[in-house]
Amino acid sequence: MTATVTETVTEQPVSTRRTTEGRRATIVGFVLLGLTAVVLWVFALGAASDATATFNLSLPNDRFQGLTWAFNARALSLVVAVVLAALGAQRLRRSQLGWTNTVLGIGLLLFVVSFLGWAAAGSSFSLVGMLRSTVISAVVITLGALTGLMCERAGVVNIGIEGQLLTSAFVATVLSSAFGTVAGVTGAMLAGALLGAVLAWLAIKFQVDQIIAGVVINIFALGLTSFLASRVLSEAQDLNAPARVPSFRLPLLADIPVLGPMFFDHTFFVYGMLLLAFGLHFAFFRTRWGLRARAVGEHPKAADTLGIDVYRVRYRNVILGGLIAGFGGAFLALAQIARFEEDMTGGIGFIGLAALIFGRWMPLGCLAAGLVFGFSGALAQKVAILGTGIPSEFMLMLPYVATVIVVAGVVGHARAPAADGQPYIKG
Amino acid sequence: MGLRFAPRALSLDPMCNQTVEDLLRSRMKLVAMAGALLLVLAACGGDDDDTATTLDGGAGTTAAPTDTTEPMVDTTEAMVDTTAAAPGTTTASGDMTPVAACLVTDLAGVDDRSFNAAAWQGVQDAVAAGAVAADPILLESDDATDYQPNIDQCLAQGAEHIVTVGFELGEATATNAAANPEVNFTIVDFGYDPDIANVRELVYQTDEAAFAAGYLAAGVSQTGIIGTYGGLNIPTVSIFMDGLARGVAHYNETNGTDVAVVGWDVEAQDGSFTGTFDPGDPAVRSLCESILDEGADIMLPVGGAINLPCGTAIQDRGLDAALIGVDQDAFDAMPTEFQDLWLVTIEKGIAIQVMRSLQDHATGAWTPGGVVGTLANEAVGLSEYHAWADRVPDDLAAAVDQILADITAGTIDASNVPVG
Repeated sequence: MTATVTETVTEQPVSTRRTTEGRRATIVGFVLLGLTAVVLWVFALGAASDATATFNLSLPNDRFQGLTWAFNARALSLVVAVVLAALGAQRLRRSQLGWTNTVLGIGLLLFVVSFLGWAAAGSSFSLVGMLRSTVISAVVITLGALTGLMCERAGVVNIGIEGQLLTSAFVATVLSSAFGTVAGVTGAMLAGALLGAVLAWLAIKFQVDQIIAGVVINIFALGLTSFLASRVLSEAQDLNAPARVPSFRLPLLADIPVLGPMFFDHTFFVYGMLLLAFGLHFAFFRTRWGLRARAVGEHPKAADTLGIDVYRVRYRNVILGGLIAGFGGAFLALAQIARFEEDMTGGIGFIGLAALIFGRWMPLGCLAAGLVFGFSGALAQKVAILGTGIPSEFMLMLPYVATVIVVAGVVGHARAPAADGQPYIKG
Repeated sequence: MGLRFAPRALSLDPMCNQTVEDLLRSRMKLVAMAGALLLVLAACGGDDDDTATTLDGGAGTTAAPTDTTEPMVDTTEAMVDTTAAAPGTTTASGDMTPVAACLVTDLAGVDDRSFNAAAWQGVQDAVAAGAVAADPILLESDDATDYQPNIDQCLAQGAEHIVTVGFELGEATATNAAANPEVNFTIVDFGYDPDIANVRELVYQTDEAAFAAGYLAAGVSQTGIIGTYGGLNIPTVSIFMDGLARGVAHYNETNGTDVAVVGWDVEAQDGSFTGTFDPGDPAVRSLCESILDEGADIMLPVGGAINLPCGTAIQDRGLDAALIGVDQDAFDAMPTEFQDLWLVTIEKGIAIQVMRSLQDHATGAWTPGGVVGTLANEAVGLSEYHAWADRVPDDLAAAVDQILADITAGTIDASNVPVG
């Protein structure tokens, strides 16, 4: 999934880079060979694997019904094992050292396909349902990551994403119940922006430690919304009954098998998330605005010398990030269940932060990371349905295991903006 | 987990595992949580008076409990019917001495539309029957650290009988029961081994009703796929899913069909779980959709209100699908927008068991120990079909009634019907 991420050039000496790359290639090579062994011994030679696995490619309400992809699970695993072994050996020979992450990504993808074949041997499951669920689960994570990106690219660490999501979900619920969806979404975005402004104010004006400021926002948001939910929403139930935002099927596109249900039959939040990821990628790396924002995040003094108002850029970015978080909070409250529950974010803002690191502070990287995290959740659900004998409690951990592995550096060195989290004192 | 399905559902209850659930789902925010709890405490600190308010149908609690105005069975009749089944039930109700009662909820609070609400309803029914003195005390726990102070508060107010609701209160109940032998306790959904001399434990053989619900679901399903998922794989949750799966298997056996169950594997005693009882968690809806994607058109989500996101998903997708409710008749207990969706509810008669315990105390016939709610003593049952009544064929309805009768009579052992 990281294939789309272009490598940022770091200033390390060439020789150091080469050895680091070489070491990573060796590690990745061994990882791939390890995966090969698992695919061979477990998936290919497992007792039940010599059976047909069927992936269903259409959902109950799709235009084209009954599309399936059926194959022999053992045969597929053998093919995957050969490819994985070849990739691993190539890494270990250290001949072509580029593209290590791409190779690892391809290897993991093949491994997952082989795993699914093994799990589904002798039965069937809805592949397209899993992929669609991946996209939906990715929305809040990606929007959270993009919020963090807006702030951190300008040098402000935002730990308060969770609180921004929660508060805006609450505001969206109440305003949408009272005045309709447009008011709900607008109000949610403004609420997110307001908390962003508070964070920026604390971080820039008072140079409060940004981590602490963010944590304070989370605690404040949790306390306030829980209090209001238990004292106000439980009394005035009408305020906790917003109209659900309906899906908007994009004509024709939504009828494309697999891709249609995945990407083109959603609420506008999903389309918004996709557009934002691509739009921000363009804005950060192809426009003057993006260049200035990044300059402030990397070297604020230099930016200041060149006449960029560092404080203004930081305020603006953190507040814009708040708007994005508000959009995500509105999605949580209005698109999924259409009611507010105490602590309904359940830590997803922090997963968003992990996605930001995984995505290497790049907008499209954040999207890819959000999809990876979403996929691990969707995968866990299907595996439980297929009944592989893997305990359900373990499968519930999968998204978090994925997070830990990813943040622990499987994807290699990820470099934060140089001035990330450092207050800028003019003078 | 070491805990496995046992014929007598042991101890854990879905709604009261907020702590476990939080740990499972929220690793990422443990750091924030510690601080957050502080603030929640601070925010609610000013309301400590509220938690100790004596409620006479008072603030905030009216909505859910009063929804249950129709108990599953006429309580007075049941008292007579079940003298043999429930230990310590009495026949005479003339010489009752009203008891000073106090109820402590778990974290879900009394407006949970589920078992806390039902237990409180039971206390109020006991007031109406003259078994409990007017103005029983209701103490809601906002935090696990509230259990002990709340029980202390009950004792300080001179409670003679304390009702504690849910697994989370198991330890606190045991400790306080030992320390206060003159006070009687009733705990919902928890079993002690060995029993404690002044605690009555209310547990439920819910798979008896779930079995019949499974048969019904298999009969009305058009896709031939029944879905189920739970909050956590703990006995009080999985017993529903197990009963459902065995009931479907029984339907297949009887009718030569091939209806499948997605989300629970009887052999492995494992299946699909959200890891949370919080209906706001996105994972809940997504798990439901995942099962709908497999073609399920009857769903049994087990665990408080985690069925609501599934109802939303069904409505959003415009599917012709139905839900099976749990604990309290969902047609009445859940928001009206979902009323068309409830095929039936697998009911746990918490209110009536709580009331019986208080009534026994008032008549002097109270005994400690485990009381298992079953079809036979009418503490477990199926609700009416409500909106689905027209869509359940008469012969199917008759077959379901027959199964219920057979289980009651003991000719079908719902917990051990083989599958597949």
